[in-house]
Amino acid sequence: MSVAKRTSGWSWRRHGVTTVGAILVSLVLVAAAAAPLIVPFSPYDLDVVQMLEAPSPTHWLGTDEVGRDVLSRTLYAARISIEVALVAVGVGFGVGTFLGLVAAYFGGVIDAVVMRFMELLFSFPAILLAVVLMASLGTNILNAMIAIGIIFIPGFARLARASAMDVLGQQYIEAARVIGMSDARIMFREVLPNILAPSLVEAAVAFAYAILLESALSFLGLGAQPPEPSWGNMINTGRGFMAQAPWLGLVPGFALFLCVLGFNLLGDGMRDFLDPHMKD
Amino acid sequence: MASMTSGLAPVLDIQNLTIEFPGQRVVDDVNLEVGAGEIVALIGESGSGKTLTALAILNLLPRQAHVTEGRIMLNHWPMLHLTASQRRELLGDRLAFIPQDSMRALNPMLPVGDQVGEPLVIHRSISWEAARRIAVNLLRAVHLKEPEKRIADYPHQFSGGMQQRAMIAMALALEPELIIADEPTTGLDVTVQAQVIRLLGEIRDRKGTSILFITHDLGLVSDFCDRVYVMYAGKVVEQGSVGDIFDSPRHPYTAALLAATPSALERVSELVSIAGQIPTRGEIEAGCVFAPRCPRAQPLCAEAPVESEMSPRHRVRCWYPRGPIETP
Repeated sequence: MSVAKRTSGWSWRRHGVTTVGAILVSLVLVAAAAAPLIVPFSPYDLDVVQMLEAPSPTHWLGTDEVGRDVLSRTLYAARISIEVALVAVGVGFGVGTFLGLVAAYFGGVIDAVVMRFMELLFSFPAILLAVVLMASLGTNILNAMIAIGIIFIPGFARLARASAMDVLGQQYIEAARVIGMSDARIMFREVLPNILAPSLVEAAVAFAYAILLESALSFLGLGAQPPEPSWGNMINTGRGFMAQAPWLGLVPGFALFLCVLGFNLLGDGMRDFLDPHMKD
Repeated sequence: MASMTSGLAPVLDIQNLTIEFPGQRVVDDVNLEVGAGEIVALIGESGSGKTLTALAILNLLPRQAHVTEGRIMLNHWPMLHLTASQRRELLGDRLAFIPQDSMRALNPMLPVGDQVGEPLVIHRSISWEAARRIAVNLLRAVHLKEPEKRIADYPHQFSGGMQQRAMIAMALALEPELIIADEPTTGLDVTVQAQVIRLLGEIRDRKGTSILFITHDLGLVSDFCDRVYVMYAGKVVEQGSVGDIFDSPRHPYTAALLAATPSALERVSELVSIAGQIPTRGEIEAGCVFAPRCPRAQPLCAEAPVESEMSPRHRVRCWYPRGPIETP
């Protein structure tokens, strides 16, 4: 939304998609932040009298197999998704950008070792790597955050390295050396601010992917553990009741879909916004 | 070589500097001195090796280039034999560099004031706040209008001339003994060029800073430099005071260069140019480097000429130097 407001002459054609993305992301963020205030029922309270009830004025989106309110659980699940995505993207962004920057700056052996290791990580399918990491780290939500974060490291490292290589060839880096700057100072003060823009776009897209991965892990029983609600484990439960109570799987599935769509659209919009070629 | 500056040890003393790219000699046996408070011009066309000479002082040579011989002393510091941390301590503090293209020498993501004050933060460990206050004064000293309002600006909010002033202000921050200015006026309007040159002269007069001024523009040199070195194809072909060089150039190349410089006083119907081209790397032959283009070349020029002294501080590397008052 702020993206749309900042530019004068807002047009649906130019900013419409970004706006939709921003609205979806805002809705998810509000749901995550204010879940305890807005949910009609506790997401944990069982109600054996009202199991698998269809949507009704009391339970807008029905109840699950032990009588918990699906709407409340779906909103609460947004919290876990956002938490996991924040930490995971933070880990990937931080470690990846650091490694890419160091590789680009020092070059030679350091560059080769770091980047070959990144390629090694890259060569595993993401979900497989996550499952292996979870298996070795143990299944809990914190480890899911770390595992997903590790998956993101190589992408951010490559991106940071490529941008840093470009920036290091600039004359202001030479000028920085000439006033006697240390290596660390050149890397973090001179280079880092100049390579962040593309990484931030990547972060928005990675955010969507992190949410999807967390759901996948929870679906497989490796992420959030019951009774903690997560879109992934809710979809998994709903799978078994597809015939009697389709809302059980459809509601969290749809929430996941809108959330991922929102972050992707926002990421695309940010790329256009930050890309000078797309400006007038 | 005996010191050419009056008595005092030179601030910068380059001896027998030779720089090679793999298989190619690009700077050949260059001797150059800059005395205290002296402004020395190093003149040459593109590819003459003048910039490489400057980069060698700063240890910023391109990866493939190597100093194969020679010695560079900045006061008592051997510039070619410093550790990385020793060099970091010197650069920006005792020795400052003003690059060719200030537009690209300022970091686009940092406020100008911070960049101007940064040498103080690095070398004097003062706070950013104090550094910004000093930056205001430095920017005022380089005649930037309303510096207190401009220090939070980013480089793109500055004009080319203002950016060059900011670079000069940064170079001045720690009152270095030597400033190396590599074509600092390239890309600036003529009026702004004159202001920048005047500013550099002013700095020397006020602080006694020595300046090594690298340029291809003879027109800039005559009013403000003390001594001149003329480089051609990696060699210093002539050196002397501004008077020596401009009034009685002895080397045919210097004379041709002067003749090719348009003057506002004389009306010329045609621009003069020097026949032929500067030899490219690797083409340099054994004898005098200028011989292929030289109107005075003789068979002896197939041998490398030795440097001869015309007058106490006027040396030329030519077998057949011109007479003292010949017109070009």
